[in-house]
Amino acid sequence: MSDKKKNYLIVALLIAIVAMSIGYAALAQVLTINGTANIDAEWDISITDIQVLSQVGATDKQLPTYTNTTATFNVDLEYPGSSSTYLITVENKGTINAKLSEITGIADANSANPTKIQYSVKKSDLNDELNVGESKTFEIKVEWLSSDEDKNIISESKIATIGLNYIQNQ
Amino acid sequence: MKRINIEIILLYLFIILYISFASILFVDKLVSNYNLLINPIFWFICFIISIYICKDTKIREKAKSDKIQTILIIVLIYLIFYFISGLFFGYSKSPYSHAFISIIKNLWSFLIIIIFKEYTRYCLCNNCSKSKLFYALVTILFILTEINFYNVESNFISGESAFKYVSSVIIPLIAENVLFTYLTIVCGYKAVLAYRLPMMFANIILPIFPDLNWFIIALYKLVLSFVCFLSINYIQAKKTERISRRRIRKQNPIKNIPFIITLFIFVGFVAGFFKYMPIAVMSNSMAKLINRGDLVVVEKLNSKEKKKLKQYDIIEYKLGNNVIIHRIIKIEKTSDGEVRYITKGDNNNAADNKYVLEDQVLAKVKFKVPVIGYPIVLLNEFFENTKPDVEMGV
Repeated sequence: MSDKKKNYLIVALLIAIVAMSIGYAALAQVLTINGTANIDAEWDISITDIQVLSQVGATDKQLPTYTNTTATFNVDLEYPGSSSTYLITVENKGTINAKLSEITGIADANSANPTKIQYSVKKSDLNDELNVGESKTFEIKVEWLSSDEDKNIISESKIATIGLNYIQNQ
Repeated sequence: MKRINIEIILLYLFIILYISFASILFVDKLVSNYNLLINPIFWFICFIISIYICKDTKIREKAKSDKIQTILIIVLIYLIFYFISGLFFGYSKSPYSHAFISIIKNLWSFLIIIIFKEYTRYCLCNNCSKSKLFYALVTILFILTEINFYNVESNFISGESAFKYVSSVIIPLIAENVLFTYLTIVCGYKAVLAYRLPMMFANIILPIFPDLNWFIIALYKLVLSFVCFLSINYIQAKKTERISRRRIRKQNPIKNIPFIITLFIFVGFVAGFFKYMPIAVMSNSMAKLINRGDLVVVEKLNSKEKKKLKQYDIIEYKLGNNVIIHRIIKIEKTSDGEVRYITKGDNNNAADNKYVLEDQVLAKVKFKVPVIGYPIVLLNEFFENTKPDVEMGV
């Protein structure tokens, strides 16, 4: 292939990339974006540990599992007032300072049935900084909110996948 | 053979010292300035020394523009392919800030370093003895400069994380740096820039990325390095070496397309992207039919196909965090229409103590291949044995 033809090909490929970007802009409203990508070695933020802090009338239906930025809990609660608390550790192992932009999954989990079981996050604020080499912990609590309607008590369980989305701290 | 001068030795020593002490520089406030200050300054000094060393070096690379264009085309095709793959795997948002000042900061942190670094590599490659040993030394040095030693030990807390780190970071890093050194030797530092800069711009500027797992990303990088190498090697053979047409035809990278397609199909099969996938059996609960270390090929089932399951079928189902392969010995239907399976391992005395519900069923075993699953079994045991303990608090 001649140099000239190769130049045409490069231009065509660049046009394709621009066209894809325009397509993305058009589709951005309907695309489902899952969390934050770990795209290179400089950006390396991940959950490194989940510990059970306390359990009152609660058992793990499945042990908590985690990916880089999401943690999944499946907890069985036996009676109103029972709860389980977990400590999630997140580390910045890359070379770029980050801040917490969003915690996902709490609202979805809480609005799903059974609504009397609620998840909450403690010790976290949006824009909390996570600088290079630092680690942060979050407390996730899942509890059965007691109410007068709880007459026939049968244990209940609920799954939640909680995402911690970090972005570059400018 | 070129004489190694004192400046070259100093440059080597400077890079080795930096690699040795880089992790010490990660202290207090310096750590936050590593990307913006320490790393760029280091590579700027290397760049200046390299310019001084290379001031009298004149190298004529044959078919240079042809090679650079080829690299650029391959990388652009790769980027298109990479982003389209997000349609199958989903997308994640970019962690990089898109505020103007952040883009400038990132360009400074990444673009400048890539240029300085690749010019330094170019200088070292062209001012050393043309032996493979020196090229290997340069490659190893540059691999080490890209490893984040500050936190490297945190990737070795378990066998699983060490395996992931080596497979997703170290191996692609080796493949890319071998390619970069090769490109530097045969067509200069601009060819490496043609590879690295489009990737860097895509990383910094684009708002979303395909949500690929570490295995796929590592595979993509390896295949990209391989394709670039083959293509440049072909151009090198065609335009610069005096070899027969038959040998040139033999080196045509197009001839490797079937191999690459086969590789992707194999990886897709192993990774479970298709209807059929292999599973290594970890226990003897289904002996003598399926023994520990055997590999079974299972067919993933949709909800319609699950309804066609019959007594004595062997199924794969999920129980907690585990996957089990047992035989259905009875199918029951509850009063509310829910189907549940009673399962049992052929080698077990009793049926499994929990019912298997339709949602738990993943696949049906189609056939087995004896023994070849053993490496996976041993690796899995190693991962389990090296897992850090889950701590229970108060």
